Amino acid sequence: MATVVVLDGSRPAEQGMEGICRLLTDVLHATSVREETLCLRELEIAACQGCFACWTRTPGECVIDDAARGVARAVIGGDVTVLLTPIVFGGVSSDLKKAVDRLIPLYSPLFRRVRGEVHHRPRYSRYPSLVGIGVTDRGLGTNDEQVFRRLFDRIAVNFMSPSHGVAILDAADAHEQMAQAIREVLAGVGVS
Amino acid sequence: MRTTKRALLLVGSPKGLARSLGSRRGAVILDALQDRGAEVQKMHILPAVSSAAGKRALLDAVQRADKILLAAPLYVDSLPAPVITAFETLSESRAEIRDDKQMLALLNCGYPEASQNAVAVQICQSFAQAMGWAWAGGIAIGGAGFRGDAMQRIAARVADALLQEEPVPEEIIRLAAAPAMPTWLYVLGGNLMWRRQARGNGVRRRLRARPYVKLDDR
Repeated sequence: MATVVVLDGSRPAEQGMEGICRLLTDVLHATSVREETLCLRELEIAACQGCFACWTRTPGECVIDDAARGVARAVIGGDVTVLLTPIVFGGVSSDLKKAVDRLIPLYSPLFRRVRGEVHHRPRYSRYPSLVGIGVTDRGLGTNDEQVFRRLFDRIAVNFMSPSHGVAILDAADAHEQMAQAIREVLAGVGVS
Repeated sequence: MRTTKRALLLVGSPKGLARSLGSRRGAVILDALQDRGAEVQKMHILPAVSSAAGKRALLDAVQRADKILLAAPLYVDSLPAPVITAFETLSESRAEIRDDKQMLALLNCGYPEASQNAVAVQICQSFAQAMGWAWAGGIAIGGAGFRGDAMQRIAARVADALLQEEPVPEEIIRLAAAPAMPTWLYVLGGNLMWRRQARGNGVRRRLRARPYVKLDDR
């Protein structure tokens, strides 16, 4: 059975995000996958120190012994990673970014060229597909939405995701409309 | 009416003011601003966003400044988490921050292509717009750095532009993005560096270790 790991990057007391996370969980429960949701704001995760010890001192594992190790283990063990976040200036929330920054031990420090650009080499033989779900309260069609899509296109390259998709949810939308958008983006990476 | 401009360099690298490359480059621009009569201040974002007192100090420093310079490395195609925390903190207090400011982003990545910073630059621009600040531009620098003594030239032109309330000239953005070495040489040198560091730490043979290998081989 495929495993979908959800990294919930909603911030404390954020309007509507809790309901959207529950909605995502409900959608996943209606599919044939095993779902594991990690509520990042409830985990102790330090910011990446940029020391690269996870590459050259303890290869494959961050030297900071906190919940981020478990997040990295869950991500590489899953088939699909879903990053759920409010759209913050076109990017992701700080809580989500803290966890994402700490995923670099999953990759090799060594470089290779991918589609004309330099990126890191894989450490593992397989990586999960990637889904970005961004929630906005500013209506759809903003520049931030385009930036968010471009961000996930790039993260998918660096995370070596075999497939990826992005859904943008308007917090004012009806739940069924949001559920449909979630189902569609998950179907794009083979979750149905 | 105060005529002296105040510039604040926010350093987004977790490595801090002394060890961060972005901080050192940003300091060259601060020096150029100081030479032109501006008052300057540097602040390390990570400790600032780690406590209530630090966040208050960040707000006060931003409130006092006319020019906000952000120097940050690229972390997973975006800004490091503490920089986003700083953006969130400032945005939440937007009502108490004057909007007559100008913001410049100075971003560097570990890949040779400066263009890999583009999305992070857009995120900075979106933040500046949300704060009501004028956007001075994003200087994106690749891992190979730039040619020769370009930093002094970049700093002088950036300082002039900021003090004239203008965006950084495109020519300067192109100059900063021009790599100092060919990509193949950067890749070769980079891979040698990583292997040498691993050897120095006694883990050269474990460079490709897969600590979660059981999951990998399911």
